[in-house]
Amino acid sequence: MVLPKFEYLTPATLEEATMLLSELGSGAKIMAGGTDIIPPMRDKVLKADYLIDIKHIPGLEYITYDEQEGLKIGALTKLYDIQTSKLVKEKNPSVAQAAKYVASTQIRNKGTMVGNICNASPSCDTAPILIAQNAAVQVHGPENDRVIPAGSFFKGVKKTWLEPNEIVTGLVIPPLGEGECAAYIKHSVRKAMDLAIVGVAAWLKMDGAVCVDARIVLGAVAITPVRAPSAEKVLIGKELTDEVIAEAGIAAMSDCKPISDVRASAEYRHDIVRVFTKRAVKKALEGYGEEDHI
Amino acid sequence: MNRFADKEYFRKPEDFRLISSTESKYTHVDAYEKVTGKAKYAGDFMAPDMLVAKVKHSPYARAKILSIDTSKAEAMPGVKAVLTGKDFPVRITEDIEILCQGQVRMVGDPVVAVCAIDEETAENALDLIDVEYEPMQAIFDPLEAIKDGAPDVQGYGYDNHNIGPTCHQVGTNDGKDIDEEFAKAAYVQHADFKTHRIQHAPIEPHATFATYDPEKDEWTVYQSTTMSFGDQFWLAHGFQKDVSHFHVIRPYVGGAFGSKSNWPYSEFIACEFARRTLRPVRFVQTREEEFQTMHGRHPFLIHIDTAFDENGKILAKKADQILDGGAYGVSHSQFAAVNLSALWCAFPYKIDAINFRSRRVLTNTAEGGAMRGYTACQVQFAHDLNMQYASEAMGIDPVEFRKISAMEPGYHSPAGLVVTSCAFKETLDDAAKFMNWEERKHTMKRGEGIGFAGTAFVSGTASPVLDSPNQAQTNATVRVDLHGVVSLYSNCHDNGQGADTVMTAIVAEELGLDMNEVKLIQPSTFDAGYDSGAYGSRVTFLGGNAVRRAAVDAKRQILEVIGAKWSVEPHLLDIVDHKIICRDLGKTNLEMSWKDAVYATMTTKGGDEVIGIGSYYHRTNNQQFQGKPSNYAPSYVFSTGACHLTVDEETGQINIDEFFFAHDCGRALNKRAVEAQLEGSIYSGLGYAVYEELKLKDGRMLNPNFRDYRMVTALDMPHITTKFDYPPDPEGPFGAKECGEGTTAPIAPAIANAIHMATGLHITELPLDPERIWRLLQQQKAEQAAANA
Amino acid sequence: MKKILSFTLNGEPVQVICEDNRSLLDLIRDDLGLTGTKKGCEEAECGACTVMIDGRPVNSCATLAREVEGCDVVTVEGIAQNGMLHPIQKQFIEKWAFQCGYCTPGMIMSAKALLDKNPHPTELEIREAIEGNLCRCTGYVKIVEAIQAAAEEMEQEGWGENAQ
Repeated sequence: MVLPKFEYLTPATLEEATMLLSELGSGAKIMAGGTDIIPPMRDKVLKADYLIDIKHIPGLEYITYDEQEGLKIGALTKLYDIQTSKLVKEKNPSVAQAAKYVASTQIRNKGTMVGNICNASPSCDTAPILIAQNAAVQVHGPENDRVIPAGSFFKGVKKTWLEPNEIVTGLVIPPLGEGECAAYIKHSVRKAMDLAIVGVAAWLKMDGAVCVDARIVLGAVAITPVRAPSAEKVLIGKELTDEVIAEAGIAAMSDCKPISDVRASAEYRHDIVRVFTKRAVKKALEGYGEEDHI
Repeated sequence: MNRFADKEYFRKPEDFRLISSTESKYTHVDAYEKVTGKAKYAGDFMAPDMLVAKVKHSPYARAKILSIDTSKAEAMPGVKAVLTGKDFPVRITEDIEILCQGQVRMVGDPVVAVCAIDEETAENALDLIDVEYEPMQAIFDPLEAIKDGAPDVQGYGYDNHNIGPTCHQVGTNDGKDIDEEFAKAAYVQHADFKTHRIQHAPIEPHATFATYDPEKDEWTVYQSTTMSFGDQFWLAHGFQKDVSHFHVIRPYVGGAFGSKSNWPYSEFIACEFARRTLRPVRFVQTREEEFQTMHGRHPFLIHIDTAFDENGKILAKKADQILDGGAYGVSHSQFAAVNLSALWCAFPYKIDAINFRSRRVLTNTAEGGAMRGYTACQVQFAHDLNMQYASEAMGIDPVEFRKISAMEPGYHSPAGLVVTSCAFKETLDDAAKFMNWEERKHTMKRGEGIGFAGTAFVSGTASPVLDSPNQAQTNATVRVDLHGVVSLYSNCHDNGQGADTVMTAIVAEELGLDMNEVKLIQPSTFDAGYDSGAYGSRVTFLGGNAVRRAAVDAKRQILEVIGAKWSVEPHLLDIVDHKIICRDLGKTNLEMSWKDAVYATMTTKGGDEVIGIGSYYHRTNNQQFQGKPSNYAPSYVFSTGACHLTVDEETGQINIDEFFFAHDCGRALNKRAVEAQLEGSIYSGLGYAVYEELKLKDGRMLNPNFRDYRMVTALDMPHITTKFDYPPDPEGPFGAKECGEGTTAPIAPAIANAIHMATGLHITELPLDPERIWRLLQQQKAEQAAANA
Repeated sequence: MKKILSFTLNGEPVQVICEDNRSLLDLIRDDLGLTGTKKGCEEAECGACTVMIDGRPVNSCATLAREVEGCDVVTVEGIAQNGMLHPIQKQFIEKWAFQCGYCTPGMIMSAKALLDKNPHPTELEIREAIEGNLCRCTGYVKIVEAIQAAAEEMEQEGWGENAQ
């Protein structure tokens, strides 16, 4: 099968890229790794008259860590590099884990985390952990740059709140402070190459055994990744006993609207939200170690 | 030499150098080409002036074709020809139209074909073709399809109530009466099972590269096939010509698993375009086309009634099975599906009174067909679970229970099967021992289980797909040139299972040569003798016996000449390690090099080259299609699969940490290949049991892609141990029997039985994906709650 | 739009005229005639088309030809050195790690990308490296063994130390 005709453009600067976006209008699409663009274009599910490849723009491929601001990941940084980064594994292993859950080794060697969220699939593996950790999505626009909190980035299935001529340049994930922990876990039938039936991210701020703040984010159970406020409410202010955690799982079920599709029924997803919310909270508390093989 | 060959020249087991050897002198004949990317598969053939063919498929499950407008496509620059149903007036295998005429019967039915200078032009041209349909009521449930007044799935006007081939196999041993057996039973079990739809999905899609020579009126067709004479036959039929017009060449084949033993529309279309344009034409099917149009594993509905005596021995069994056949296959080409599915009910136990009925029903879905372990995976899943549940009902250990009725050498089934070599009980014992069953069965906690399953399969089918002088035969030729270089002309189809390698090894073994001194002629319908195809687990047994006979025929000719020179009975000579040696006491010092012996033979015979011919088939009464007793194969194989697993009762996900497979394949000709086949069988069976399912909605496939059709990855495989050193078979080549096809059958029931042990769930349906297990666990909880209330 | 594309293929500079919508897979196979790289699904799911770009294993079906401008691309045809099969190729033969051979080129490229970065992988790391390569024949057992054995052989023989 052949890709439909389009023009391939390689701007050398962000300015050039946004200018192209403005000039070419809705027929233009930004690509980095292209792994979520090329197969659907071949299947005629995605249309583009112009593909603007930003890989030649310097300065967008980086992983750095700043004690104040946290982990910074560039728009061209590949998922594989995030997954294997010593810095990411040390400072925020749940981010490495989420990156590793995406598709296959080959896809992760081409695809980027920024691309993964810009694709805005409801089952996107990296969105829940970014939302749970209150990550900032850095955006470059023709007029000015701005920051969109990851929690306000997703609009619908394959839709984000980016303006048509804006480009995401990077992500900033705040540092895990004293008592803070996070985890992302995914339920799928296969151990690789599978889209999530349910994905759950948990971020917790603990004061001893008591949870003082929590963010629970559910993937693949609504048109976008969604927060689970009822579950968070159950956790906040309580000692996280097994009973409380189980209760949070039950509460999370009311925070999602899963659909039935070829991968799973709504009913099953609903119950897995319960199980995986519980497990995500436990995983966050327990932390990551050697045995996780991230 | 043929199947009646005098075996005195056959290599004796004590002299085997290659057979069963794991030393490095046993080489993989296609190794270098396959690891360097040089191996050419059908889709790798190209020519500078090549055209590309593409097809437009039906979006409807059942509809009238009102009109087809190809004018815009034909006017498009770069488009060279367009074909519709009227260009292929002849149906193949009775009910298949190359391009549909007047009516479509399933989503994905081919309707229009275009041929253009490149893929892009061809695809764009398809978009310009307008087909007007009138959708009709379609039918997807076989039980609905056979009801009175159901729509005619095919619309050919056959008066068949949508029921295609049917097999009814009835019989008893020793004058027993099945009703009496049931009447005197200590325990009768009634059980129902249901299986799902999956597909072969070889990584190489079907591909054709065809050229046409108008002077000779001859096509050359590179085809991804495991039955090149079938392609030749049906191409000839489709074009209403003699087979001599079709030179079908089998290049490397990228996996088949049954999918390449049929005749895809793509090869007919490529050939017709090649004829019309006089240019080479390539047609490579897309992955979606593969899913839509290949003949995958039939979904089954199975009812079983079994009678046991007070000791747990099977007295009698009845089975009624309905196969969802999809939209095609009313002819004899699908008799095997019903015949085999009835046959498997008789396995692997001694059952002296049987009554098995299998009916293949038409629905407006993709056609069902042969897939690795043709119908055995479905039937033996049901029948093994049936045994498991009966063992529990009767309070007998499941391994012991299976052994009570297990087939043994010498057993004659009322189905006509004659069991020769059989180590079924030994495979059960070995599995129980490996799993440490006696100890562990008492110590396992809820959530943890061990499952066993015992199955059997044919080794070398007698069923001919096409007419040949004898049933499902193979012909082979071995030619020795004046330098002693040996060429093997064999059409035994290699689809990855290693046929090319094992056939080369057989010749080298018999002639005392190294494998690289035997040159395998890359086969085609004109370059080597007939072989019925790689189906029905026939290649090693039937093909291997034919090739062996060809080698031995050449050997005999040489030994007769040398024997005369030395005044020794020729069968007392042998060829070992490039030398003719003499085993006649007192003359053991006689010796001659292979090359000298060949040269001397040609000199003696007035210059004639040594040509050895061999053929083999299994002779049976050929009544199996009528349900009459018939010994379907020259021998049978027996397997036990066993696994240990845990169940995550919250998600329904299973984790298999150990899989053990004991397989009675007689003597393994190539131990590494056998081990690899067993590992592959576990992979394939695991996919069937847990991961793979083609889901349909209103006849449309929801997951015709590798994203949602879940094939097992390297991370999902359990740890595997295999055992296959059981006694040799008396008739198999060097004592070998089948491996790699029937061996997929015990995987699903072993997993199901382990889940059953871990959870107590009563499993009756496949696949055992997490959601199904979760659902069953929810039900179990609700039932327990209700019982406690 | 047709443009000239320049990159390095198996160590040799290549210049080829190519359309924007050409995939790297079709370029390699149909335009350059290297058919070792296989087409199995065209949806980046089977891994038969895996090649290395600047040392990384990627699905060439999900890569535009134009993306490799200036890059170093290696296919299965390019990994034997100085007339010797690569240890991974040798061990695939030795361990009987292929049957039909159709997934083999992609599998070998994934293995090479792994061993180039990680000369001592664990079994799990090997399985992860080939998680995106579907094999329909083998059950992966012998493939994993072959990659393990290749890692040992490469260390013993100092393979690749003189490679570019």
